[in-house]
Amino acid sequence: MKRLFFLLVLGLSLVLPQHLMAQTGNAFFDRYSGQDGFTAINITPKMFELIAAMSIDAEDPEAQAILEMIESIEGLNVLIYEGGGNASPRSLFQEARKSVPSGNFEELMTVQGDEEQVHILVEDGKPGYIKQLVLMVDDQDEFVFLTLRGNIELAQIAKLAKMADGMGLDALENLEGVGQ
Amino acid sequence: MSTPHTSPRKAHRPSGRKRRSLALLLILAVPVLGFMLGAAAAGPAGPRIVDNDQGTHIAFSVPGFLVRAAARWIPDAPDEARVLMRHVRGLRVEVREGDYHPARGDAAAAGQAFARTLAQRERQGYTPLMRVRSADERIAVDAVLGRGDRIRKLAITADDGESFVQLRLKTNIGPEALGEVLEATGFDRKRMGLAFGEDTPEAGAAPGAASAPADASGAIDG
Repeated sequence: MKRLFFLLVLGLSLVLPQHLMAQTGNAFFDRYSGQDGFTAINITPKMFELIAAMSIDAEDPEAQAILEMIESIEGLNVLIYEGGGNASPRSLFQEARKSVPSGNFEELMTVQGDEEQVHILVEDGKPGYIKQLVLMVDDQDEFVFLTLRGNIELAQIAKLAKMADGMGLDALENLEGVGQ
Repeated sequence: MSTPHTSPRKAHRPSGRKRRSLALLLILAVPVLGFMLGAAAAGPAGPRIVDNDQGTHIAFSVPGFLVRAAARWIPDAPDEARVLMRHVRGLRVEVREGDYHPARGDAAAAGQAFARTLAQRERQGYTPLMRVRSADERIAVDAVLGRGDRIRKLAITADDGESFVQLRLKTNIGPEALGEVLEATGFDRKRMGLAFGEDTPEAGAAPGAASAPADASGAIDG
């Protein structure tokens, strides 16, 4: 009986922290996923593994580095609000900002304009790498909340914006040069 | 009794008209046989077409050889679709509307019904790849992966609360084929070159611009 109890506690102690980590920043995503005006996109780690495994003729070592970065991504969640619901992009931006625990994340970049504001937060991993990136964009008509998880080299993140069409990654271009 | 210039074997051969009839029968039987085999290979049930006041339920299978042949015949198919079609071993399409919809057309219950479908998919060994969800629409892409991350089965499910559409493919798509698909879309080293700001003739094209062959259709991005 004692052994069973010990194994149960050990198992929970291994599972629960991972579960809590997986919820970081995603509570906001889950709350609005499926609500009016919102589009939620979730790409699983396996999808990134398949993309990274594609046999693309990448003789360029830098192109190969991009493929390796894609392989290091463990998940991508994007939440886009284009109106039609009860919320406003500005209020969503503020709520999203509060949903990210300040203890684990630090602000990497903030862009404040008349019509647009961008907030980028990161959770550090090993030197030069990040474990998680949270991007929030409010441009009056649209709100984008993006979380990117993995073991991502910070210097290469800006390249993702140039390669991906839409999905709110355009704001990552502002990170060009960061981490180098 | 055979004639001096005709062997007994030749005397028993069917005439030209009979040979043509036999050939025509075989030509017609092949696709029918193919559909029957495809139904057995690509899904647990055969073809079904129901369209009445209660709703619509359409389900049919297409054998792999027809899909692969169509990859060559269809004139306006996008290049990336042709590449994928060449690796299809079987295809099953299912459409449900009205009372045949998993939620019987109840938009409020559609989300739960969709979740049940995905849970059943997971029990069947499918790995989730992508989910897209809005207030009214849900799209799920799942796959059964084999050795070396080869895609053995691919399931694409879409539901807007009124129509439930499911596409299931039996495939043998490996990393090399996925690379072909990606290059067929024009997403290739040129685009990667753009990502590094290379100012070369190869990188001169804007992202998404047509670097595909001239006979590709213009509907790559749909």
